[in-house]
Amino acid sequence: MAAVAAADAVAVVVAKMTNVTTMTKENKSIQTIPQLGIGFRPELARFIEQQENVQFVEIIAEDFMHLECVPQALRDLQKRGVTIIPHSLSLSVGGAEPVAVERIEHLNSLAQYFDSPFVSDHIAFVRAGNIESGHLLPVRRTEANLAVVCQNVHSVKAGLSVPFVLENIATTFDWPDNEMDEATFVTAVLEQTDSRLLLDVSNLFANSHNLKFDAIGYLQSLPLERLEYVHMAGGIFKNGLYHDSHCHSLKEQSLKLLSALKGICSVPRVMLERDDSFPSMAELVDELEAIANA
Amino acid sequence: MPEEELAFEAGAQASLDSKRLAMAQEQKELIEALLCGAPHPAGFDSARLQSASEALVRKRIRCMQRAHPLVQEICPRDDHSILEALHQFIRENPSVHPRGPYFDALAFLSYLGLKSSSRLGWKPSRLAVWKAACKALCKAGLTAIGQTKFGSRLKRYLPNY
Repeated sequence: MAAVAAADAVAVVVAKMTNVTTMTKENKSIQTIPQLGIGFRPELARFIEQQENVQFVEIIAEDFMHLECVPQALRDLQKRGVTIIPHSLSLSVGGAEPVAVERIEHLNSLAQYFDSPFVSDHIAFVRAGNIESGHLLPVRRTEANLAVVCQNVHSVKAGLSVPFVLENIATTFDWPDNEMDEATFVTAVLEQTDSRLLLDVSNLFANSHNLKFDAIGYLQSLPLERLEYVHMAGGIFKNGLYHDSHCHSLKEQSLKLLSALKGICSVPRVMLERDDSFPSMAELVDELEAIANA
Repeated sequence: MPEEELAFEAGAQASLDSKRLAMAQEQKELIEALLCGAPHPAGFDSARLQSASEALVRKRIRCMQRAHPLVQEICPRDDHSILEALHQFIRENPSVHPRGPYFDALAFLSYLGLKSSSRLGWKPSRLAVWKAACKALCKAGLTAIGQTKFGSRLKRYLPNY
């Protein structure tokens, strides 16, 4: 029995390194251990260099408008075999305007430069009436707007040489006259455009808290076979609302939701996002461990 | 392509164009309510929109501070006029700079007159900017880095320097 247990333990370790489904000697599937990642920020660059278990990093596409300004630390991570995923904040596929060709070209050039397996952005809009919000805003969920979003996504995909992955956003308010719930809208966009899913579990927790819906029901209605990776980030409760700030510690509720997700489907990759008020290295290590073990 | 198909495609595109127009109007009304103090569109929860509006200003300031260490350096000073100036800048420029927070921060510094005659009573040197950046990095756990080598270290980690 001890030998079997030891063999299983080795299998788990191997799976951690290779992201394959762990199998026992009885050929029974236990779980898929996700690859572990983190959002690359200059303030975290040295910390990330020191984490041997980090298998991918996500970069903000708009931080690297010129390839010559890519820092050496990021190039070194790539040489080490760490996957680099460009993540855009500015395509505004949920906007009324068609997506600007130069934004798509830039995202694609990053994917080619870093040999990335895919790129991502959000189902949201960030500009309207010549005003840039600097923030991801929710789209009114109607059939008419769904058609526009899908056409925008199609145009992005046509300009990319890698798959396009779409993320759900966090919000503290909602449109008053939506025709469908968020999960239905996200599912429709993914299926009608044949796109992949970046599920932000913390955003899901935020919305389920702020807009009062069942997060597990949401998870169960998503096309999780399209799941490419998962975001986890901290936030803060303020005046009864949950703000997905990315500058506070991870919340237990988000971790529980991640655990529930892992119980429903295979999660290929999971990563931590931290954008400001950077904690100690020990706290970051704890948060990475928490999402790896949720 | 047969005429019937062409007519169908033209009709579909016209329908989509009209959907885009309606979508543009509703999104413009929302974004102006959130960022420009315009009236809240009908049906929205006003308290929620107000809260989101304030959160957007806080986020914009955080992003500017993070993108340009000098903004972080000058804001926490006891001189509240800087923070007031920052809020005034945001009111006068409700749109975030299209090239992102770094250029938004530069626009604010330019607004303060830091590139020419200083309205602050002092003009930051390049060294002050780098020291501020180094301080930000040290706060993020880089205390082991020798201060004398911070220039080369910054170059290694920061894309904007």
